[in-house]
Amino acid sequence: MKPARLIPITVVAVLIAALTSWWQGSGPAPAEGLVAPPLATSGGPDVLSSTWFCAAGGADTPSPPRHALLLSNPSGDVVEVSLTAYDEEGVVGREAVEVEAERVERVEVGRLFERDDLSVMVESASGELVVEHRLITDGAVDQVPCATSSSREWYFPSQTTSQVVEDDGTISATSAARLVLFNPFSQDAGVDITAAVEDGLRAPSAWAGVVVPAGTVRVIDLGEHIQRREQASLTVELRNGRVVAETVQVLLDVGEGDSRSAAGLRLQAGVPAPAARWAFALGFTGEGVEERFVVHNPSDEPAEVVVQVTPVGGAELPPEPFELEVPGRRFSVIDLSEEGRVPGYGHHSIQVESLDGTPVVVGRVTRITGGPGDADEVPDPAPEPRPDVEAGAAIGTGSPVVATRWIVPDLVLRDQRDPAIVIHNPGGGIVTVSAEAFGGEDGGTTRVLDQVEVAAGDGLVVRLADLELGTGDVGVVLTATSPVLVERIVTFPTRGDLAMGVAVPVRPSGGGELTPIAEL
Amino acid sequence: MDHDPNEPRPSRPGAVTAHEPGGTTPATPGQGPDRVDPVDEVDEDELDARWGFAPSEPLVGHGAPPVVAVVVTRDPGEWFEDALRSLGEQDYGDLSVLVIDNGSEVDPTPRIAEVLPTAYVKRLGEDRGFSAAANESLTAVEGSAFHLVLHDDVRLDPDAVTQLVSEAFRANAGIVGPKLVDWDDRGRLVSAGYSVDTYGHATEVVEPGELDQSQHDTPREVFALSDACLLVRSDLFRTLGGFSEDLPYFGEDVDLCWRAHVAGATVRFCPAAVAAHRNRFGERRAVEDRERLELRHEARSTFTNYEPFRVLRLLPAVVVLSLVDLVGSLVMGRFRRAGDIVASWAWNLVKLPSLFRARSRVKRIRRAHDADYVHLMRQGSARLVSLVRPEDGENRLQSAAEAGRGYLRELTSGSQRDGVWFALVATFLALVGVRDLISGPLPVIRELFDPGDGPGRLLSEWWTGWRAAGLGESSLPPAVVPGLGLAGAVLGGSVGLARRLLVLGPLAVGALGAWKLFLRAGSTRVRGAALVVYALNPVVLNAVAEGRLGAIVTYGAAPWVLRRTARAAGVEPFADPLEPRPRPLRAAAGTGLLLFAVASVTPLGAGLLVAALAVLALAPAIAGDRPGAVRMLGSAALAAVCAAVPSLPWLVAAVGSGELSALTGLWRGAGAQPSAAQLVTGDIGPVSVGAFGWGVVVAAAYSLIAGRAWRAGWAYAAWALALLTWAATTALAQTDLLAGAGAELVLVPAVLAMAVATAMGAAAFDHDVVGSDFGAPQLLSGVAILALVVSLVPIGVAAAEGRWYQPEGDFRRVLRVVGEGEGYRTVWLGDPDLLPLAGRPLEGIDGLAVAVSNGLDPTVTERYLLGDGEGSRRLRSSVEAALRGETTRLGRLLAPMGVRYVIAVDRPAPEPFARSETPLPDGTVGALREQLDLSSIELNPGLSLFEVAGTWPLRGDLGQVELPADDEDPAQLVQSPTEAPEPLLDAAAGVRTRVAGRVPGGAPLFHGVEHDESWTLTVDGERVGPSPLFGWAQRYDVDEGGRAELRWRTPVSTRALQAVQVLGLVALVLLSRRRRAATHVRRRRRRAAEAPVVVVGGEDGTVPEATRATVAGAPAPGEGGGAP
Repeated sequence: MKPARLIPITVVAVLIAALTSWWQGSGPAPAEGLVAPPLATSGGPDVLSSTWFCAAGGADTPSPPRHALLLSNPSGDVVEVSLTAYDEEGVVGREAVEVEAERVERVEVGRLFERDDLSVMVESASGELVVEHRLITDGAVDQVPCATSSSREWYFPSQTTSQVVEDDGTISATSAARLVLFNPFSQDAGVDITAAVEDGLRAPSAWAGVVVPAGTVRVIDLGEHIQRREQASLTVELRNGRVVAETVQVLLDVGEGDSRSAAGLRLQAGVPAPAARWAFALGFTGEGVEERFVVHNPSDEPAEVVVQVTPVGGAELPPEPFELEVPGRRFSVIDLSEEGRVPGYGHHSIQVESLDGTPVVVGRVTRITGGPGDADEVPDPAPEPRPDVEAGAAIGTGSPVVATRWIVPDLVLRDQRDPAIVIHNPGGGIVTVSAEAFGGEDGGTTRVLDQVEVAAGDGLVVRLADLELGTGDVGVVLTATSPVLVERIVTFPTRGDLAMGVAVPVRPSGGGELTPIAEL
Repeated sequence: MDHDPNEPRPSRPGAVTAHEPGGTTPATPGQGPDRVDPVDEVDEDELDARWGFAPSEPLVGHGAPPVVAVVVTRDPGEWFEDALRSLGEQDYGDLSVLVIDNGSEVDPTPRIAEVLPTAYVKRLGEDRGFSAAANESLTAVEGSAFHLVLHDDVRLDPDAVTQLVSEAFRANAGIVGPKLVDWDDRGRLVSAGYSVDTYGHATEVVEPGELDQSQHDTPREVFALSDACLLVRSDLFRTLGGFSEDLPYFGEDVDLCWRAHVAGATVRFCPAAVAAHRNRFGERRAVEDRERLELRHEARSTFTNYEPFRVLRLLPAVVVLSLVDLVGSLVMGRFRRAGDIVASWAWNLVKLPSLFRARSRVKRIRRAHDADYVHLMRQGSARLVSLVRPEDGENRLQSAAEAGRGYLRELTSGSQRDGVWFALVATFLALVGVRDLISGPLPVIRELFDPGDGPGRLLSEWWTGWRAAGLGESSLPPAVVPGLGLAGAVLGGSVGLARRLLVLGPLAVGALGAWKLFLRAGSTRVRGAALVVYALNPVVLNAVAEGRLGAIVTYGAAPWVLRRTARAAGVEPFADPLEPRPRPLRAAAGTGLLLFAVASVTPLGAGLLVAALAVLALAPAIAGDRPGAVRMLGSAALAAVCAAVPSLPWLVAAVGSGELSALTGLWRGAGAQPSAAQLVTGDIGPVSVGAFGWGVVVAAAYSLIAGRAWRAGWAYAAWALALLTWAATTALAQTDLLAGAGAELVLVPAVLAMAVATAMGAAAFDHDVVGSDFGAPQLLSGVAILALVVSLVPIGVAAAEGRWYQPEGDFRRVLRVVGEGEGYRTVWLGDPDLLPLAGRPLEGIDGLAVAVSNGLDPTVTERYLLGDGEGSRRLRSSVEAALRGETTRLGRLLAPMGVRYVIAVDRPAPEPFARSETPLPDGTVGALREQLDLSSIELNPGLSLFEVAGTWPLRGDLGQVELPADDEDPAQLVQSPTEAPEPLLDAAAGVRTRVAGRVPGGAPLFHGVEHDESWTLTVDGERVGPSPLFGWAQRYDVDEGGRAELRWRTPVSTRALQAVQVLGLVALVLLSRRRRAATHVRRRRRRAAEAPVVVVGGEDGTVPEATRATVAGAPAPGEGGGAP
């Protein structure tokens, strides 16, 4: 055989080898794109409609709390809103209201439906409508944006059913927690609830296969099965169907009869999915402030977590991060107010990152037990002081995503209240931020921030009380040149409480997704 | 003038009186002209007749009855003079010759005049067929006692006419025929009469080439004789009206004899008369459609000549036999014969009026019952036996036997035994592997569409030009839709059977194509190698498993397209370069029909085949036959153009809509993509071959080493095609563009290439290796065979499963419990590779497409989506909004579109039938569950089913419906729930192009299809045009109620496209037909105007001087007879 006859077969062999080494195939493409945002979001003006689910309508308080809906309409058009109220039996009633352009409309559920302890679904043809709900009782108040999507999983990193025992052995306060499962959908839901406590996992049989019939609400007293627990991380998993879940925790003064009162109220929207990285724009320390972070690891594998605290204005020299080991299905707690590395005065932002990528859920628990300290301790230059309230409790779960446009639904400007917006830039470049307030008693819009720069990793605290916005319920639309995280704090001095939490990000137009912090 | 054949004819001057009814002969053999009527010798004659002794003495003298020899000729060869000379040398005393020239290109008169100056010549201006030409004697001759019908290639023995006339008188026969022997070898018999079976099928009594050993030398009554030489009594000939002119060639002699039996006459074979017949019809003119003509003429004679009761009795049997013949022909790959059978039936059905007229004529002449002559016919069906005959159609019985013997010889031949074994193994495995698909369930998965509930709907979609796909669209469907409808209609309304044939038929057709691909190579080894690689290729088996119909159909056509194109180009080994090539247009038209059939299902498949031909055209170029390569390219291009003509409607519509996937069938999907190695080995589905798949590659590579000349050319070209195909498929896999039609379709050219390359390896072994010195090629041949055998191992294992892992169940099975009917629509969501209908991708959501079916069952037309109307866009945007969490009221948006169900699927079939899964994007089902007006129905893990609340009927009364102020704003639909209108105009019947009923006055009518001005509503004769509603649907404002009709009027442009399609298809069919053997033009005879006694001239009426002659007993032309 002539050697020349080997040429064709050699060429063929080489080409086949090249082809097979070039393309090794691929598995199914990642099924992404439709994961519900990990927090309530606004669709913006391009969106067909919006639906908000406000689950918790009551609390274990001596007297039933008032339930108010705060309907923020930053758009220039009047928005028709349909409200449907539910209780454990089903639909209680439907009402329609109009929200004027660039206004925040407060709707008292009790007035509209003659009962406050109702879950409410808010529907609107406007994608820009943002809805928050607030529970108000004698000594406590809290508010949180309603949910915009359901989920098959919900996480509540920090719940407490403990009693507060003073040094002298007396019980000064106790707490109660309830889980509200809201199913306005057409399919019955089956729910399994488990709680991670300090010494293990609790999965009471009564919490297995809890049925939430379609179009109803189910309220579960967490204290029935996890009694006297200072810290418990709750996981709600659905066997079938969909629900929206919220928890309401109440700290009660230990009094007798009518003297019992709420000392703090913590309303928390469930976290639909764990993530490897979380950010909190807002944190503060100071005298009388207790700030703890609870990291719950719902997976089976242990997680190595670092907590990075960055003081506002001090991004260039942040303190050493804290490292936590979180076993699988357990939680770890770090009390920043006890850590010397964290400056004892002013605001800071916090980022929590799971180093090995194990998704976790993070809760920030803030409790104020006294007023601000002496001015002598204020460092130079003086950062923004902590909120001027003497009592209160708040809980927040941060955000794994950032956005370039945010809506703060409601900031109450009256009665010496001191609402503030905190903007955190977790990215690597300078971000220019603008903000415009709308609503108030007079309506209309007012420029709050105009092209203000926020350095990389830094934060910005904007106190609205300083801006002469008048009184009333005010919303703020904030835009940034790059994705940022926005939180807001609302204080209620007269009731001795405060509300802290992430604002509502606006999804990018055209079906885009919010930017995960991990991608920055 | 007609006569009773049993009546004596009057004597004429110079003519011999016809025989008496008693059968006495006017002359005795051996006697002279003056020895007429020797009554005392009658006993001896009877004795001779009884013992079969033929009279040997010439019948001459004054008393000989006049005989006119009618020679029909057309472009005669050099033998013609011999034939004429034999007539001139006849010892018969009263023989005239009339030559009828049936449209010769060269006037034969001088040749005739030179040899036989007394003969008359009548020229016809064109070929009217043998029958019509012979019938010219009816008007051109009068006064003769007998017509001797002759072909122009028959040479009579000198006493032949005498013997025939004697036999006619002796046996009182109406028709007498001689013993026909071979022109060149008188020792071999050509014909001794026909054996005709009950169904009119005639076969020669003698076997082809049979030696004449006096075994047929007994005069006898037969059913029919060859009209190569036929003595027929003139009065009988006139009574019968001559030959049937509806039968121009092939079968006209049987028909004539049959009618003679009907008229009470007898047909005799006279072995004493001998004629040599050249009998090479095929050399003189194209006879490719001989079998078709024979088939249809057999049927024609059968239905014409039998009595009514017998026809009725035979009809079912004829139908069954034809079906058996048809199926048998299809199974045996004799598609030409199958086409002949169909064409035969079609011809006879079209000619029904003519048939009834012919029956009427037969009725008038009938003097005998069928029972009187059927004993002369052979019982049973010779056609069934002839199934095994070879393609040339000649010498069928012996050829069949020869073929069988040859095949057995091949089986026992050591040199070809491996090829035979490969073929047998391939056939066995293919049959075993597909056994459950033949009779078992054939699911609706991917491209294996549901054909619907009957052929009417499919045909209607084509005829009306309104398709139910999506929310309705004005377009002609792909040809597979009406094609399936037609097939269903032919199969008695069973579109399911038509679908099964469509799915499984190409598997057999493709395998047969591979077997016949290298027929001319003359090597079973080569054919076996091609068959085993092609028929058992894992690519096509996975196409079956995965429901890739486009790949299956393309696979079925590929080897045939290659074979036809290469033969048309005259390249080796597909054709002998020295043989004449078929006409390019005819060849291209046939190939174009094949490509059109493929394009009907998958235009991309047809395009791939043309591209493959272009690459394979390298083969003759490499082998040194550049003209052949150019011809092959040209033939492929011409075939593509031919195929494009009838495909034009879909091409125009697809190009006009800009929907490329309507032509390619490919979408971007999210499923797993095979690696390049898997693509090369075909390991791309449930029929997993793993590393064994490299066996075929190794076997095919052998041809690169061993091949020479055309073997090397085809091997190199095949490998070039394979490499290009694999590279292109890999590129598509990388870009996730293989969803829908799948990798299987794109890989079909590579499958063909591997079969060609492997076959070339076998051919190279035969031609280039066996005779050469021992070396590497010999050693490597063993490796190649071993590799091929190894590659069959996993296929053999998979064959045991019985259905190539195709799922047994489909979504229909699961959804049947939910509901049926068509008065609503269903939205399907899922990866476009999984949906059983065509979907459109959702913007920004990779791997998710939305599709719409009418009712719950997707049908064939919904597999081909074209238009993207406003309704379709709104439906998609609504679904997108719901999936992105932008609305929780999807139901309110879908309800006016008539959507009752939303189905999300993540696998091609429900559990437990699915073998693979492409997960829906996270959150898809969650987002649907979140919709407040969708109710979830739990059915099966493979699909998520939701029911829409408040679905609108497809046609409804908007009178009580409060529509949003801005009905085009979807947000208002979301905000303000609208009650569904009351159904009207048979809304439950689903989408129809014509519905009627009563409508109330003063209320608008809602019609849930894409807005189109071609819809009209007529209320009590008053037409109302549609106006848009919701931006996509239509409303009709009816002032006064009454009887209404809602109707779709097909646009003129659609009609024009239909005309182009039909005319193009008809033109292709006509062009691809084998050339007709005759142009039969019916001509009305002008008996009254013609002269009573012969005379004949040229076409212009002139009579050549040299050819003038006088028929015995008749005046000469110009003497009173009157020349025309």
